[in-house]
Amino acid sequence: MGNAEEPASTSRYNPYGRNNQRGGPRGRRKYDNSGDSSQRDGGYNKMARFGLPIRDGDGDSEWYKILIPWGKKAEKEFVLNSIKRLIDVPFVPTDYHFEEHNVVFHVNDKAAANAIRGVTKRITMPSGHKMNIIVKPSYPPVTVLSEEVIEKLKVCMSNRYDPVTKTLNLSSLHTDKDMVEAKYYISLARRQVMSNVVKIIKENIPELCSLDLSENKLMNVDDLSPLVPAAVDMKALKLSNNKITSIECLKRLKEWKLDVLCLDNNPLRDKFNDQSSYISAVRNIFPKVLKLDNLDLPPPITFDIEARTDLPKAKDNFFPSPEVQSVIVKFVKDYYMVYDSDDRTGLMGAYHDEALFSLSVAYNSAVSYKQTSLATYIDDSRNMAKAPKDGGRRQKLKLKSGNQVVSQLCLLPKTMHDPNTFMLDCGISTPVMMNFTVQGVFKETSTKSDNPPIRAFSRTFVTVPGGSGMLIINDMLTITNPSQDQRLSAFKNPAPTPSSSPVPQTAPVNNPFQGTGFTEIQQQMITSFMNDSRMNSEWSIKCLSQNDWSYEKAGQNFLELQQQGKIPQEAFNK
Amino acid sequence: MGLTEEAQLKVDQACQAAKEFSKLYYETMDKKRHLLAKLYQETAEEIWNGNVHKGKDEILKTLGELPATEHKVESLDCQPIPDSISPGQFTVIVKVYGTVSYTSNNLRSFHQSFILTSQNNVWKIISDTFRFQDKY
Repeated sequence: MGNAEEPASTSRYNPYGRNNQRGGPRGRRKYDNSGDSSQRDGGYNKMARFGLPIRDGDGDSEWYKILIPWGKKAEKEFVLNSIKRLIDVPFVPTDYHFEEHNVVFHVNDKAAANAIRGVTKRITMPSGHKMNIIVKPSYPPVTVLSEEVIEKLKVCMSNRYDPVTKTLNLSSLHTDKDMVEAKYYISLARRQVMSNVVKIIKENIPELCSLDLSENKLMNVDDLSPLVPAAVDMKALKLSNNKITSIECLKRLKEWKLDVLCLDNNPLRDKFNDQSSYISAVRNIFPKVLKLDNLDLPPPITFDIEARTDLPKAKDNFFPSPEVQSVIVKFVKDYYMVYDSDDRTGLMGAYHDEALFSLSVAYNSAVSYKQTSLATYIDDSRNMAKAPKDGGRRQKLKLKSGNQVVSQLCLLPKTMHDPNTFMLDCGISTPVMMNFTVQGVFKETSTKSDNPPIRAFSRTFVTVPGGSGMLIINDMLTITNPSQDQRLSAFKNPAPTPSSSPVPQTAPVNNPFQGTGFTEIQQQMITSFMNDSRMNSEWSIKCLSQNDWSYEKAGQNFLELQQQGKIPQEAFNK
Repeated sequence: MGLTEEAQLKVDQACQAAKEFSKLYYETMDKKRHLLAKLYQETAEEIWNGNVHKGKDEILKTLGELPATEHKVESLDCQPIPDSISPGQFTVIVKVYGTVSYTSNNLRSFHQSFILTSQNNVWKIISDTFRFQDKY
């Protein structure tokens, strides 16, 4: 009844024990290195398909894969308990999951694996059929990818990437030589693998244009869809030889304006009676496809007016002028330096006597991770979108005015903001008022935990001239939890040191908000630019800030204008 | 050390306006996009993720080009802006945080602030700043 004990030094266990005993053309085979003796598809090919190298088992950490065909139909508890009831050996099922309609789990113990194999066909499923249990030796299952595996995956991907054509070939990833040699069975059909691959692409090669995902046993492209808004230049996608059953799932990728698409050898093709309905369905999702399954299609005739489904590109900080930019940047820097310090009373000088402050807090409904509680803020939160619990009596108290403002700020949890995440937008800028919003993330430093909560915030200020520059008259702070991406990328780079030595300005400033204070990097750029262009500081600053502080862009802009003779003589007067 | 009665009255008025405005704005944006321009003043300015648009016509055009939206407001706050800044015209600032989904795009968190001013007893947007919470 099964080959229970085989010699310890032997190689791969023969998974088709019973059948083998009945004998194929070669009769009862000795256990040998070339894998299973099933003659149907040749042992070698089968092992190669699993990405397992053909060699002796090495006896260390033996893992076995347990496959129960149609097991998905029964409850997990039923399956595991019925097996447990029949065997003496305790076992721990690792990563119990489904592959199509089959149950798959792994066990780390030879005796357990053999025992489990022994109960095949001895349990009756709720459907009335006998439970067939297939047990095969395997590599350790990859569930959550460890740092190590991810690093190896990155290297593997970079070897498969051609920067000239911006093509990434991830075809048959599970048979990749390097991954297999490192003993990692990495299949793109596994969600964690696909999500990590997508993340790696997002972070390293968002300019990707062509992606080959053929032969990866993919059943859908769900976990590929987060890549769509990030890889905006994608033009070619190969999904041949996978297990995609429905063309509908490709709708998630329709933002990609694909020219080339390969879907051959997927079950989805069978749903179409003829080639033309297939092509129609494809064109419905990707109207611009010119080459499908390696066949050229006639260019589609479309209407010029299509409803836009893509979003305009986001730009960074907006300021109406470089002077306003420098005023606001300096203000924000100084403000947060005090705000993040141990004593916020230093902020009193920044507020007008009649200033108003309010705080509004809400959970982030766009994230799926379990969010840290916002309880510390809720009592002070003024959120008119939610019905107040106490009938609004306390609402009046939540708007702080005058010197209550800074007292309230001192009561809020201590913080450290990450200026690298800051995004500034200036809405109004007139001689009598300025309005701007700062968005970004901060962490709460009052708790002595290793993992202080990271929050996302948006703070809108209205300021008026006064004090040593400007005074805050309205301060509205919204706090919520960050997105997963924001959490992971916050506080990664050392914060830029706020520098404040002013650059002498030669131009008179008309508006009362005097601009001073460029960052160190900006100052360096200004000096170099003055040197290179021979323009004075005022014009150099103008050119640099009009080109978003990109030295290259500013340089090109300058050369263009100079050639066109558009730069006045005064630009060069010191 | 709270607000004077007069000031408190202004606050209440502002809050009332904010609640009505927020409901109206997002309903219009989601279901009757073509009517959106009526809410903006002629010379209003709108910044969408760093892209600035000036004037009612340009604003209507660019907002009109965005895919169909579905907004959900998670938090709403507002404050009146002092008289001294805009004498004679009651002006308030409204701050919204919520989530929005565009056809076939993922759900995004956004922050938006409006400056509204009353003209002939009608509220008009003079400034609108919108930005997603994160890059993707």
